[in-house]
Amino acid sequence: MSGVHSEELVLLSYLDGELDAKRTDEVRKHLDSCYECRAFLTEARATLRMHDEAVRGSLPAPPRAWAELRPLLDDLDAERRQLRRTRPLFQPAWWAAAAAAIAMVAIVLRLSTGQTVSAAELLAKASAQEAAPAERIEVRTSKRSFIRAARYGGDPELAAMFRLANFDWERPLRARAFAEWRNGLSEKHDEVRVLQNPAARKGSYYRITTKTPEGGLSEVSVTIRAADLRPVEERFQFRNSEWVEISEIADQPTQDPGVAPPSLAKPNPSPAPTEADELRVFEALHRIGADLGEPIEVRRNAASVEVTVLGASASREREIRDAIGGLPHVSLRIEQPQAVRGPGNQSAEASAETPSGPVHSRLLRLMGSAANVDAFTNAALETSEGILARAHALRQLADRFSEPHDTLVNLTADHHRALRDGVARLNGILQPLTGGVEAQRPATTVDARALLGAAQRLDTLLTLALASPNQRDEADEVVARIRRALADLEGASLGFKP
Amino acid sequence: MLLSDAAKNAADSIVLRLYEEAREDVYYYVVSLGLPAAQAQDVAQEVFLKLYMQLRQGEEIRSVRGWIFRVAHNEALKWKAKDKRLSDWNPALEPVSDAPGAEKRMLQKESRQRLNEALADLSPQQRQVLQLRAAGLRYREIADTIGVGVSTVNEFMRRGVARLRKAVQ
Repeated sequence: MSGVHSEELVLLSYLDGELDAKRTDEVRKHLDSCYECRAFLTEARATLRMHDEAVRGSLPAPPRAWAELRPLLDDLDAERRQLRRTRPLFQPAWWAAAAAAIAMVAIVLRLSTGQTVSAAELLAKASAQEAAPAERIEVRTSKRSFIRAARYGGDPELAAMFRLANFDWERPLRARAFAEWRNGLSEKHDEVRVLQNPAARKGSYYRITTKTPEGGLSEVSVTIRAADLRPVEERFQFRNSEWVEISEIADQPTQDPGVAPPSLAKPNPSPAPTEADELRVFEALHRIGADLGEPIEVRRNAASVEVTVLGASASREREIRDAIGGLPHVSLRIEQPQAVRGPGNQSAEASAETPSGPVHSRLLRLMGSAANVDAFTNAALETSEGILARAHALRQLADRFSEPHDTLVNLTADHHRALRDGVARLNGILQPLTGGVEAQRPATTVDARALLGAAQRLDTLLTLALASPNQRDEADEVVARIRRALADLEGASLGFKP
Repeated sequence: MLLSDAAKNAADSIVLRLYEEAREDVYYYVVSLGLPAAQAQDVAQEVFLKLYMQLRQGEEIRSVRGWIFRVAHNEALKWKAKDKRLSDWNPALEPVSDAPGAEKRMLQKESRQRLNEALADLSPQQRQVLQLRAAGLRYREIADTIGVGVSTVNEFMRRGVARLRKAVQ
């Protein structure tokens, strides 16, 4: 089965001209002698053509004539010129004003701010700006971390790594050094982001990340303080998966840790955040449904409750900002993952192959068609995933909070209810396969950890049974296991006591 | 001044050419993501203005077509996040008639209906990949647009084609 599967991948790539010359040649030779592959190719081509025509045929045509673009482009240029005239170049104040003005244009155009600032421009300005470089820096690698004077080049091992990668190690945290490295690359991809109050720092920062397929460094990012365009942090990702982080040891008052991090609505100077503060964050996230497996990390430390959001869309980011922005002791950090994720990162790939084992045959008999089996599989796995998300949320609450706060009780009850609904729904969905399961409330109470365990066991079983190609186990045996796991989970959900 | 004139001309010509070539593709892609036609046309137009801004700021864009569709994709998702009533276009609900788009080859009404139903059963990613391919994008560009790897694009394609093929056979 997997042979056919990978053959189809190659044939489709061939069809779309995605193979290199050598592979194309190989496929062509193979096609000469393989009727099956030829037939597949012919059908795939016809199917794709039908698809293309059908899609275009059923979508509505553009309702208006297309606007003339050139006048709009000229308007944009006029706006840009306006920006430049307002302040002389190369002054932070200008930059701040420009950023604000660009942000306004951005609203008009619904641009995302992350894309309005060019890395080259920003680096040029930061280089021109460079006043006194950092005195002392902290260097972290995967193995150690130390503090050194910025001007002292020492550490031969690191120095050699940087030299090989063409990066000036003698000038850490200097925009110019970064720019020189970057300019030496023929192929690169930049990303500029605006960060508000990134980890342990206050105010606005730009982070420039440059990725390249060339040389010893695969990715370097520099974080630049917006107020004075001073680089305060650098991260070097070497191609051999080593990494080095450098940050300025602040002698300036700007990093006084005694000052509580931002809370725009009500500045609250009281010192350490409490469990109640953290719980409020969870409550706020729950209100917008952001506590169900979104990559959001909540950490409470001495200074604040730090919320790190990874890879949210711009609108989601705004919702999260709105939801927790006014809370005291909260610092929010937004991180965007790389635009392109490598293959294998996609969970979708795991279930790529069509199941063919005894369980699948039984399902096919029960459901009548492969499409029905797919629908059944999707519904079951989706529901199971929803249950898992709730179980995770419950576990997280149980692990973090101990005081029987009203908010905690409500949040827990909410997730618990949704989890029970999910289990009932899943029972219904699986009914054709399992004949339905009736569970009994267990004699002892069940805690969040046990509940999560039960949800995970069932999810694993379902994934193996429904979405794995090589599951050769006897159908009766598999069904019995699913029945047991489902009954366990149902029991656990009834006996759950936070 | 001369230099910036040259930069403007370069950006102008790239954007205007692509606008002619790709605006309909972008439009249809955005419509397929569930935006109403009028909004989709706005989004499609804006994408080119953004491209222009980007180029004028001296930003390098590795693959311009991939960039255009990625921005369009993100815009569409933003709209959808704002307006919860919008949902993916559902081909199964489309009346099958002699639509003007099917000019080249008249499809049998029945197999067309089956195809539309199969289309509706595809996962959103499978549909997007097929759509973007129809718009003439390379796998690399499709991968950039929807934020996955090239081999994942290939896999989505395979599964999409497999399902559609079954439906029209």
